[in-house]
Amino acid sequence: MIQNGGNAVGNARVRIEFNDRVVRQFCLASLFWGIVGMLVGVLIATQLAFWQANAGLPWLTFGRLRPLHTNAVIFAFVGNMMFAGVYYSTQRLVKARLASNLLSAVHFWGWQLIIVAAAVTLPMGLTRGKEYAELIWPIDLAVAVVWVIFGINFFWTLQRRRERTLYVAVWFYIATIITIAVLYIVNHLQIPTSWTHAYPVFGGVQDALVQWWYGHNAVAFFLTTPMLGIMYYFVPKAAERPVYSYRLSIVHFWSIVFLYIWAGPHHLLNTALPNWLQSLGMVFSLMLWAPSWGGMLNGLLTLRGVWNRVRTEPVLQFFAAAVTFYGMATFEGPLLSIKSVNALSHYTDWTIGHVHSGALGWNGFLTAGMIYWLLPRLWKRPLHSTSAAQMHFWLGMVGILLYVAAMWVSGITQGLMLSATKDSGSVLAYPNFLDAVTSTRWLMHMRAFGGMLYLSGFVLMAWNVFKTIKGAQKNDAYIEVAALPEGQDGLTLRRGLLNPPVLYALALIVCALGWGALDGLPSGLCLWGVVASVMGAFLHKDLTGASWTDWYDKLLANALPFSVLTTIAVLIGGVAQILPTVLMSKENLMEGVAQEPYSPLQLYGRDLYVKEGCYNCHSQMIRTLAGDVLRYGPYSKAGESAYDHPFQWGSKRTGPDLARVGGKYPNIWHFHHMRDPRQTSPGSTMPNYDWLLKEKADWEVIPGRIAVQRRLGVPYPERASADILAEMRTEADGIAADLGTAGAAVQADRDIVALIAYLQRLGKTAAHQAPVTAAAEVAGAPAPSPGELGLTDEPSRP
Amino acid sequence: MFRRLILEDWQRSLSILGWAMFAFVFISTGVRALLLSRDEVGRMEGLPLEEDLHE
Repeated sequence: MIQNGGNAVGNARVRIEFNDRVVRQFCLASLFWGIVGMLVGVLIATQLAFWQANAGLPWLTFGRLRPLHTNAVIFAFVGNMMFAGVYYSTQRLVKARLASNLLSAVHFWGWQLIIVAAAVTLPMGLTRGKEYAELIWPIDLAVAVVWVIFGINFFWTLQRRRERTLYVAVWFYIATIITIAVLYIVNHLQIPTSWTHAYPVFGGVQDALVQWWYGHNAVAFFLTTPMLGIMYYFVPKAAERPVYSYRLSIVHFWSIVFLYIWAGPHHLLNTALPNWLQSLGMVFSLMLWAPSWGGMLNGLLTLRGVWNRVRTEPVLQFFAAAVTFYGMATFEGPLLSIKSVNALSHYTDWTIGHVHSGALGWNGFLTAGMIYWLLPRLWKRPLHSTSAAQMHFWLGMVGILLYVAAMWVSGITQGLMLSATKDSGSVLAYPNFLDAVTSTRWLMHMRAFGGMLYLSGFVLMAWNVFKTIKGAQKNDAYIEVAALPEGQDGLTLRRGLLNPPVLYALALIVCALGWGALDGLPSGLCLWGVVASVMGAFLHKDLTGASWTDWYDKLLANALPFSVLTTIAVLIGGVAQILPTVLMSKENLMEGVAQEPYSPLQLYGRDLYVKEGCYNCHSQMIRTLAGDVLRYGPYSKAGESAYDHPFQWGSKRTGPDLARVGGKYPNIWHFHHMRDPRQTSPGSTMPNYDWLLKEKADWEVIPGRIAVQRRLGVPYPERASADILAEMRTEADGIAADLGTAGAAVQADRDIVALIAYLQRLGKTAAHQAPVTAAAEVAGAPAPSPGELGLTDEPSRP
Repeated sequence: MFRRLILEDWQRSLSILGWAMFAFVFISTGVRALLLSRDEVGRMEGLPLEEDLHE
């Protein structure tokens, strides 16, 4: 009798019954949450065309719902699909039932509870203010626990396998589980101030680097590597022929795993991030072209000989299109990472179009193809309607093309208009930011329509799935295999790592890093170390007659040492980028500008700014580009946001940059702007925030928050709570009185007062006390020269 | 001489070192993949194609 789903069959074979119940659950959950996430996406896309589409409700505003959309699509739609694909394929590839029914069930229900918690808290404005990492800390903890449960269940299953080697799809799953755990934990390090609020431990440029190390690799290791594993399993399955080149898949895996982790800084090009990190991010992004296209070609060429079936079978249609979109998105990504291209594309809709070609085309279509393929096998009934599935494909395809085309045109238009200058580059050609908003509005309609088409395809799929599985027999498949003992790992962790190839490679890397990082004699010694490592390796090999390829082959067949090696490959990039920046003192990152802590009222206003998700539409980072400097003032220096926990540099400008908005307009302008943005800015798409005028501020939380900021290194003096509250009262009374004088009667303890205090503070550092005047910008009056604004021909950062 | 030309400070050398490390990984895994035996490749390619059984 064999445990874990296996029964003795005769003397020589055992029967292994798979746990397909959890696969069915994850498939249905993916479909359900996918529709929810896309519905929210269509709603917020509509809000960019019609600002009234939030119906005046705070919890339906763009700033609060955009995080819900991204989290729902990434972690709920793709996440559930990923778990279904990983569990289905792994059981078959390693010939073992999932190790634990209980862990599988806890994994499924735990993940769904997390999604529900996110769907409730994000619209309430409970957020950390970091993209794709908005969930508040109790939910973060739950994510970490459920992820660990997933990891235990997965590796336990590998431990009990009856297959000697690990197929390349399993490698991709291992890399996903390890890397996401590392990324998530580091980027979510935070100190709570209450059950629903916390400040991240990193601030300013350090927080920006850690955030985009996480943000980019959430795309890489949540939306790409598991999908590639799924591609390497399900595409050959659907095509009924082996992968085009298993050899290519090996190079694809190691190249992707090693390269991806370095590419994060390309999200911060031309910003206050140190230049060497920007260069590193760009170079590694460009190198990603090769393995990504290798993988795409491997997927597409797997379909050789079955292209005639692609015309008639929806599963193959979805897979062929998904792999093609993978190729297109991974071509566009490195292109956008070139610093000069990024100068045009960053903060515009072009990036949004790029992301959606990947999410809708690669992830969405791969999900659809996988679920259509699984349906008849998991419920033992043919698909209800093949023609409906084909209709889904074409609705989705047309939807994607409309969406992406709209975003390309819109993004390039925005980039060109906002950076255009005249009179020998001394004056902005379009000084009013809203020119770029109004001239691209028709594209927002097109985008919403494209999204609606794509969503309608998935609604059609839900109907098709419902009709297929209604009354169907749930069917757990089984296999019969030779009665080998469970557990094929023969290489211990110690023997796997304390091995000549590993030790020589480690010595080579350490010496090479030392050679580059050190000066003088230590650097010279490290150079000798590099030479000695290489020569030592060859000598060792010759003298002992060792065959190191045997070690590599053993490694691929042994999950634990393989996982550790993968971890090292992934961590090299993270350590090389993040450690120097984190260990570097704040003073070294200041660039001659020291940020003073916010006043208590300003800090409260900043927390409101984060709560309302203002960073989703406004940046606080003036790049080292002429267009930015002419429009917003001197380029931002790292020191100006050094104590910002979290940083708010943003990634998209639906509205203008706010890094130096302080003092640009009077208080009353902000009051009217928040109540009805069109009163001060005709053509604006920003919703009315009239509830800020009514909501009473809870100042009592601020002393506790300042105490946490002190622990994080923000130089607040030690003060009694009563003093802090008294200072808030004094500052708020001053702003309320000023508003009253200008004709707006508002009580001092309303949210709007704190928000105005914060906005008026932005850019008010010692080095920059003279902002560009509003009149000068709007009227297109001669602006200060680049030299006056601090922009040189070649702005350089350390 | 070249060091002075292209490496203004130590952090910039990380780009070159990173590229060198990637080249090492790329070439070594590429060579290993090419040297895989035909039988082993065939066996691995066939793993996803094994069919389930149903009651």
